[in-house]
Amino acid sequence: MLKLSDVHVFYGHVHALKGVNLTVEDGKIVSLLGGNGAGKSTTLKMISRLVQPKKGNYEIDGKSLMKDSPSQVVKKGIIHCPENRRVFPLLTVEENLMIGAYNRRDKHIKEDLQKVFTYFPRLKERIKQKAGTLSGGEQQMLAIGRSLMGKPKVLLLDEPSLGIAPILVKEIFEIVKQINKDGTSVLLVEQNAHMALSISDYSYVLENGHIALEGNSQELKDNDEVRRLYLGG
Amino acid sequence: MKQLINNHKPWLILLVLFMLVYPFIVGHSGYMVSIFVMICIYAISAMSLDLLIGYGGQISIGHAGFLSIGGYTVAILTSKLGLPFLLTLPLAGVVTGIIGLFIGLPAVRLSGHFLAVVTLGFGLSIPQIALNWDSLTGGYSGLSLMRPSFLSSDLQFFYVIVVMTVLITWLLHNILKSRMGRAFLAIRESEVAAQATGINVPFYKTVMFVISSFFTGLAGGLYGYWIGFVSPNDFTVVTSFLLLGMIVVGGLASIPGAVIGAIIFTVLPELTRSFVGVTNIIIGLAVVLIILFRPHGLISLFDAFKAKSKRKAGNDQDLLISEQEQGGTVKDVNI
Repeated sequence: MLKLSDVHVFYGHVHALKGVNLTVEDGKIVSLLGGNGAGKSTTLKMISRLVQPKKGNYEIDGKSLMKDSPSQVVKKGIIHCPENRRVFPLLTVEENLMIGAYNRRDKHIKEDLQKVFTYFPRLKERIKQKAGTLSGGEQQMLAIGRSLMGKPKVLLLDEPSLGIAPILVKEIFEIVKQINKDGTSVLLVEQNAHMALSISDYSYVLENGHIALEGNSQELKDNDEVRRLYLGG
Repeated sequence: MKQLINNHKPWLILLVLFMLVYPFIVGHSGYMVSIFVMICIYAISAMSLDLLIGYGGQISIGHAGFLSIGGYTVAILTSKLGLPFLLTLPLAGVVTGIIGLFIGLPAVRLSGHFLAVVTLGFGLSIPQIALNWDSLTGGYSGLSLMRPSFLSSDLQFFYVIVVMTVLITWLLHNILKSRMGRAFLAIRESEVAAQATGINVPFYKTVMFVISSFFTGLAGGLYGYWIGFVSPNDFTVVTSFLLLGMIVVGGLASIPGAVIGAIIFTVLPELTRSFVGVTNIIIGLAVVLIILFRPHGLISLFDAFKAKSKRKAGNDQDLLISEQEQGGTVKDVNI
């Protein structure tokens, strides 16, 4: 269980997160909604320590992560799949995936590689291809696959639908659901509120750096305010 | 060494054999042997620099400073303290590596142009320090040093340099093929993604500088012993730029590329020596032409050749990366 309590983040003088409380229960998909600049991506970046929190605490399974570096956070099973895909463009698909297993020394890496290929058969077809030559959707699949290679307990997914054809978005979300069924908790940041609410169990709505609303995704879907602000009426 | 011997690439064995019989081929000509030695010293430095720039994506235009430090370390330790060769040469690497650590620490925070300026400052200051620290470096007059008696002849020391070059090439090759090498590549491609996958970016950036300066320092030490004399003018900032030229002309992120670059930049000035005054023009022209027609360096000639023979075999799966992709690497936005 990943738990954030009263987390504050500053960019210089800008107070980006103003005391965020949020919990990702084991085995659940939790989505984080909100408009541009609400602090969704910042929350994920804070958890993976790409940006530093100034105040507050957060922990996984009761162990605090406040003093950890990005690589230590990854070792504790929290893996960030960053926005805009960020695959390594000049490395092959296989090399990209192997880098995902960078911190692991166990013997199951090859099995997990096969598992990634069962989620994303397309990646197997392109195993020797340079990642930069893949389409946007395939790069997103690769980025998720790379995160899975690190054996996450909690997967932080930032905008997996960004700039991807609608039909592929559906496919990717189906796979995210499958990944979750196989035992990985997911914290999903998504502009596409419809999609996010329909696959997640619980949702938070961020506004201006704090949680404005939270609840079961199904309930939020019927909430008038959410409908008006994020679902278009 | 096993890997070298069991290697399936016969040309590699031929190359090593060639290096071993080279002095006999050229009839023990001191001039030819000396060119070969300089190629080896520059090849080690260029490969080390390539690890940093080509594989790690961290720029350095002060690498000649590390060569100087390596040279001065052996000179000072031999002439002032009388330490034996077997100790001074490794120490040249260690001392330079420690200095590299201090240059690498700011690199953790700096990148791109800023890192270039910091390393440039380093490269400029080393000859000045050597010039002004009279008591240690002998100032203008430099320092001379003696090779140990069991390596006193040039032929003996030639073999030391050949063995060291082969050994260092093999070490660098293995480092780049290892987990650590993968981390370097990941950092070059995208620091954010590397960090998000759990690679300790600050640590590996520093390690890159240490490894690169360690081997460059060894090259500097070998140079000191070969010439028997070090002075502030041996490796100036011009050398740094030449090293940069070597790896770009040869082909970035390629060990053979760095070696080819070292050969060209050592042999070309010798070949054009008779055209007094136009040497640099000829070298400059050659470099411009190579970059113009082979933007990925001379090594890409071999890749193109390989791709051709593959295609003939009915396998055109292998995609050559276009220039656009090469230049289109996703740049990290500051977060």
